[in-house]
Amino acid sequence: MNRANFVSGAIGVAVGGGALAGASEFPPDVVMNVGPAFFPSMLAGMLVLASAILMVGAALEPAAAAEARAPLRWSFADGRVRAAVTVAAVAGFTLVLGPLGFIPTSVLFLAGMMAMLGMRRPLPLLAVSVGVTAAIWLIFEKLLVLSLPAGILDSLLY
Amino acid sequence: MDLLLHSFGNVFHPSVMLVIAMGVAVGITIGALPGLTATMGVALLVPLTFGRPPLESLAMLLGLYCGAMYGGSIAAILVRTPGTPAAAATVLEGYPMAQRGEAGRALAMALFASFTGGLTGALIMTFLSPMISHVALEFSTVEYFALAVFGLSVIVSISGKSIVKGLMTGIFGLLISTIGADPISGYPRFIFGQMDLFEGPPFIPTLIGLFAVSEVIANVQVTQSLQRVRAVVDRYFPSWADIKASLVPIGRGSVLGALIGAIPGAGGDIAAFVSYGETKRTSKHPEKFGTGQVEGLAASECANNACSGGAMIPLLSLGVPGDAVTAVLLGAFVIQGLQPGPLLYKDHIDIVYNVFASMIVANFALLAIGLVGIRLFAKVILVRRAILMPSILVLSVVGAYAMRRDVFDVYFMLGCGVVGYFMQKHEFPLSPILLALILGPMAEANLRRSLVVSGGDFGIILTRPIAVALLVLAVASLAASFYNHRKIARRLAEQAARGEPPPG
Repeated sequence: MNRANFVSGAIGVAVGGGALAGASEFPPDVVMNVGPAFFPSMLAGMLVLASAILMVGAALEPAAAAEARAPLRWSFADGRVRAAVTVAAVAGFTLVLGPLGFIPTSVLFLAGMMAMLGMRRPLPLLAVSVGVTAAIWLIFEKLLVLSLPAGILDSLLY
Repeated sequence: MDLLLHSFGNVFHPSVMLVIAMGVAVGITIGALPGLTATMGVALLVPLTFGRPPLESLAMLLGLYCGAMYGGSIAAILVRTPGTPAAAATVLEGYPMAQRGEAGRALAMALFASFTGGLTGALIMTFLSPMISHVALEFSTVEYFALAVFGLSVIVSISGKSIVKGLMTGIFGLLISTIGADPISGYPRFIFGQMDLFEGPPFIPTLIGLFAVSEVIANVQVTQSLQRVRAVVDRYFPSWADIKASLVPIGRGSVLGALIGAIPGAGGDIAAFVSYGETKRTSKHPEKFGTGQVEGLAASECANNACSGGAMIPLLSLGVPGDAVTAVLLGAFVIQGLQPGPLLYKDHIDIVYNVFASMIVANFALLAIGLVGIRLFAKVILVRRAILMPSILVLSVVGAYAMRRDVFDVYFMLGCGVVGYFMQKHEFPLSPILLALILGPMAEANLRRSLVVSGGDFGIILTRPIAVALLVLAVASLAASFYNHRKIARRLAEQAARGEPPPG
C-alpha cells in the first residue's frame, strides 16, 4: 500500500464530505433549481470520488521497499525541525506585527531565522537583518505609501 | 498600427523604461536562483503595484516575467539545477557545455535565443490576440462557461505525473473558489462567520502562500550548497557559426513555444522539451545530443521565452490564463481595476496595446541587461540561502498584509503555504489550484446566469455550437491524457521488467 497516497485520499474524502454536509444547509433556489449549493455540492462529490479512486489505487499498489526514515532529532540540524520552526516563526511574526511594529519584528525575525539557517557571525547577521528590513520598509512606506504597523516606534517614525 | 506606435511612445517614457529595466533585472535574479520561480517572483512583486499607474505596474511585471524565463538558464548551465521549471531542458546541453569550459558560449547563446524567442512570442501575441478577442466578443455566458471548463480540463490533464492527483487538485481549487458570497443570490458560503472571507479567498495571499511560502518551507530543509562548475564568462554574444547552426531550431522553437504557450495550462517547461525534442529528432547527429550541443540549448531556451508571449494570448483575448505566471498577472490586472478578455479590447484598448509594446520593449531590455550584467547574474546563484529565505518570508508577510492591512490575510497566506508544501511534497501539482480560483467563479457565474436566462434548463448549453465544441474538447483532452498516462505507465513497467533504468 502507498501510505502517503492513501492518507492524501482520506483527507480529500474528509474535505469533500465536510463540504457536502456544509452545502446541504444552503438555502435552495425554488425557481431555478440551481441554488448556492449546486456548484459546491457537485464539486464536493467529485472530490470525494477522485479521492476514493486515489485511495483504492494506493491500497492496491504493491508496498514499496520501506524507506529508511531518520528518526526526528529535536535540533536545527534536522530539516523537518527547521521547517516547523519557520512556520511557527511566521505565525509569531504575524502575531506581534501589530503591537511591536514592523521594524523591530522584522529585524528579530530575520536575525533569528538567519542564525537558525547557519549564519552565526553577529555583525553580518545584524547588518543584513537591519538592511533588508530598512529596504522593505522604505519601499512600502515611502515609495508605495502603503503604511506598515509602526508599533513601539510610532512616536519615532511619525 | 497607429495604436501600437502610440503605445511605444507611452512605454518609452523614462519612468516606464525604468520599471521595465527593474522588472527584467529582478526577474533574471529570481530566475537564476534555484527554488525561486517566475510565478513566485511575480507573486512577490504584485503587492508593489498597489496604487501605481496600470502601465508602470504591468510593464514591471511583464519585464520580470521575461527576465525570469531567461534567468532560469543561468543556474541550469552553471550548477545543473534549472532556476525555473521552464529551464529544465536547458540543463541537458547547457551543463555539459559549461563542464567543457564553454559556460560563456552557453550563456551567450541562452541570452540570444531567449531574446529571439521572447520577441517572436511577443509579436505573435500582438497580432493574434486581437483576432481571437474579436471572435470572443460574440461569446455569451454559455460559451464562457464552456471555455472555463475547457481551460480547467487542459490544466488538469497536463499537470503532474498523476491524473487523479491533478484532478483532485483542480477540484479542490474549484471548491475553494466557492468560498464567499454566492455570485447570484449573495448567500455567504463556507465563511464560518469570518467576514474577511465574504469576498472569497484573498487572491494575493493565496498565491504568495502557495508559490512563495511553500517553496521557502521546502528550501529551509536543505543545507548543502550548490556545486558550481568553474565558469569563465569570456563571451557576451554567440559566434556567427553558432547563430548559423541554431537559426532553424530557434525559428521553429520560437513559433512552437508561442503556440504551446497559448494553450491554457501548457507552460514553458513543456514548450522547451517539445522544441528540444523536435530539434533532436530532425538533427543529422541526434546521438550527440546530451553532450553539449549548442542548437539543443538554443531550441529549449527560445521556446520557453516564446511561451511567455503565447501564454498572454488567452489571458488578454479570453481572460483565461495560459500558465501559472499569467494567472498571477491576471490578479495584477484585477488589482488595477481591469478585467482581461474581449471587453478589455472594447473598453481599454490603450492598455492592451501598452501591454503589447511593454512586452516587446521588455525583450530588448532583456538583451541589453543580459549583455551588461551577465557576469553579475552568474554570481547571483551563490547568494546564501540563509539570507534569501528569511528575506522572502518578510516580503511575503508584507505583501499579504499590505493590500487590506489585515493580519487575517497573513495567517491565510501561511495556511496556504503549509498546504502547498505538503501538496508539493506528495506530488500534487499546485498550478491547478491557482487557475481554478480564477476559472471556478467564471464557470459558476456564467453557468448560473445562463440558467437564469433558460429558466433552469441545462439544454441551453446544447443550443450553442461553440460551447458544445469546447465541452467536447474538454472531455477529449481528459480522455487523451488518461490514455497517454496509461501508455507511459505500461512502458515504464515493461522497462522495469527488462531491468532498464527509468528515464530522467
